[in-house]
Amino acid sequence: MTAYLLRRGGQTILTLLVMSILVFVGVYLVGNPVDVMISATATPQERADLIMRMGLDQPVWVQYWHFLKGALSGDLGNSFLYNRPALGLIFERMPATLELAFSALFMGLVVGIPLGVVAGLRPSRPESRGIMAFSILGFSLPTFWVGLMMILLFAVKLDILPASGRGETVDVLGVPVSFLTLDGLSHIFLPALNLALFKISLVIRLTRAGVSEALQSEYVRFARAKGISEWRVVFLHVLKNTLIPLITVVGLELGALIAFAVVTETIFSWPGMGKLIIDAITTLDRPVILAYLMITVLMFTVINLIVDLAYTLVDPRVKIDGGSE
Amino acid sequence: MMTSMTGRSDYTLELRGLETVFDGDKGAIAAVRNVNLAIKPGEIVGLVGESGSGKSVTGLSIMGLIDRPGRVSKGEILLNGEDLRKVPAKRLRALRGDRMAMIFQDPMMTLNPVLRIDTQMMEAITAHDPKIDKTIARNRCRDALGMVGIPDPEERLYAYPHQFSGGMRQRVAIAIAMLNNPDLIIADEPTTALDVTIQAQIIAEMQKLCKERDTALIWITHDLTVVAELTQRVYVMYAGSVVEEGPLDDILDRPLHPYTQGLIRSIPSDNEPGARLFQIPGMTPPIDRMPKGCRFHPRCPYVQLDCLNDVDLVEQGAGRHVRCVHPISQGEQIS
Ligand SMILES: Nc1ncnc2c1ncn2[C@@H]1O[C@H](COP(=O)(O)OP(=O)(O)O)[C@@H](O)[C@H]1O
Ligand code: SF4
Ligand SMILES: [Mg+2]
Repeated sequence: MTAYLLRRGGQTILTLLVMSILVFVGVYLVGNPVDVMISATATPQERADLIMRMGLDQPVWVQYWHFLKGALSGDLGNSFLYNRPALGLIFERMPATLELAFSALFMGLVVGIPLGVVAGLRPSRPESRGIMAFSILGFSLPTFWVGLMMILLFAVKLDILPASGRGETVDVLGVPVSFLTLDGLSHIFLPALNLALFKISLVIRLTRAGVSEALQSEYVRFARAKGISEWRVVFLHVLKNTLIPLITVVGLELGALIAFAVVTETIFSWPGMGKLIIDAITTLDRPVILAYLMITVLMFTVINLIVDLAYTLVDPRVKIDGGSE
Repeated sequence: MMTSMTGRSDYTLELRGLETVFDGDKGAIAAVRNVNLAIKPGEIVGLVGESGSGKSVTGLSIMGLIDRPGRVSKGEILLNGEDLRKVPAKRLRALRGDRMAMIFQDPMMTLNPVLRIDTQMMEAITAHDPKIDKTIARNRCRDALGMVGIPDPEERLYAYPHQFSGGMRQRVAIAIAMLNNPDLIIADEPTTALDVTIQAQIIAEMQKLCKERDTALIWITHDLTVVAELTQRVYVMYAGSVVEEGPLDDILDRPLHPYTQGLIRSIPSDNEPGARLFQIPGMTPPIDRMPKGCRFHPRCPYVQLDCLNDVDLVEQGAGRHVRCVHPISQGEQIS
């Protein structure tokens, strides 16, 4: 376990280093942030002052060195655009994005697993065919189009759900969340569903495949031969085996959810990291880009860690330090 | 033969004209046809035949475990005189695992890989006795493991299947099958996947346990040598039907059906090691392409024109039955 954590930690640090170098060099090659930021009427003197203040007059490797020193003490620099700590900007917006991503993940599982089980248990029934048709739609319709349609239907035509913003929030451990107030819940429902649609389809397919495979297995036959209830066969013997592939995918997809949230956030004006990072990229706001990417890498590391731990809980054949036996 | 006072059958299990079909595009196709079989308490019978002859389908039909598109379409399945085809699903489930149990071929696949052994054992007890004291049930599980020769049974209850070897897993499966002291156990090639030494140990243990408890045991195998070690009576199956039935010794000494003779001749001989092994030419036909008349005729060395008519299983000497128009006579016996 300790060896595993050390290895994971080392990998993460290496990833962070390589990524930050790439971002530095990348932004350097693309252009000068000052050109984007400064007004066209600024004097050469003003321009030179700004460059100096942002430290952009120094060679790129010196800039990188300053960044590294700062990063070690937890300071990722000030945003060029807002002249405020980049990390603070990210942390302000992150809860909204994470709340959206986790809500979508939750919907994906809560809706996807039962539908997948139904479709797997009775594949030839009309309801199962309906479920599979729905999952094909969920896979093939573009997220932004579905989002716009949802706004048209629920917000404009029926006028029962709001189309933008987070609504009323409450603080949990100092972090504002929407889902604990009725108003917030009504605000998060549409964007979360929009983001979840693809996941629901994916979870349906995985669950269905897992269920139908397990149903044909000898261990299910043996379980039935003991005379246990069909309910127990399905919800213990079949479902627990189906969870294994689901965990993998959930781990992989959580990252994708956070990334794809950008699209949904734009459509529903959800005040998450999406808008911040898009602005940061267009203005070459290097500290914000860096801070965003570093936080994301750290987040992925934590997610992977949790997935690995979840594996050991569900599949006894998996050991934390050496994969499968 | 004892006569039952309660009107119950003398037999633990009796099959009368069992037919199991699989529904497909071409309609219902029989995988097992007109199988009659009877077994008494404490008796061990063998169900022998090449792969694809319908042995597993017969076993699963008895247990009510044939999945769609398959179904039992004809006949009676009498367990202690009660026709399992007529009882409600709830009753069938109550009998399954309690009065009759089944063990399967591949010990690596029979146990659920993600559930602990105690979970998989306890549920076999609580399914039939939900109010049982958990400690009592647990002790029964532990004793059952000890009984089939698993060391440290108390501790092993907490293990997962992957922590056991193949032979040990099959022992766990046997322990589970025996937990409720069933009247009938169907063992579907339980030692085929194991090596010879472990196979012999398990066979000896099963024999002893069934004798002690008066359990009827149907041992399914394609291997006549296994049957020779274990059973008193055998049913030889071919292409979904019983083609010969009788006491083991008689059948081994003097097979009546050409197929049985072929099976016996393909047993490797200890006397002439290295001798080229006999093989019955051809293969068991798939169920949708069964030959007319005697289904063995395309492979039979004794085939004649009248073999193309349907053949019934007829009595031939004491306790023996054979489904053949030209059963092998004394003079033709070759061993
Ligand atoms: N689920 C099924 N669907 C269609 N045919 C089946 C199915 N299960 C078994 N059969 C057919 O029934 C025949 C007997 O199979 P089985 O009882 O498994 O043979 P054995 O156990 O003697 O090797 C085989 O021809 C097999 O192909
Ligand atoms: S009936 Fe004819 S073909 Fe069939 S086994 Fe007997 S001799 Fe052979
Ligand atoms: Mg079989």
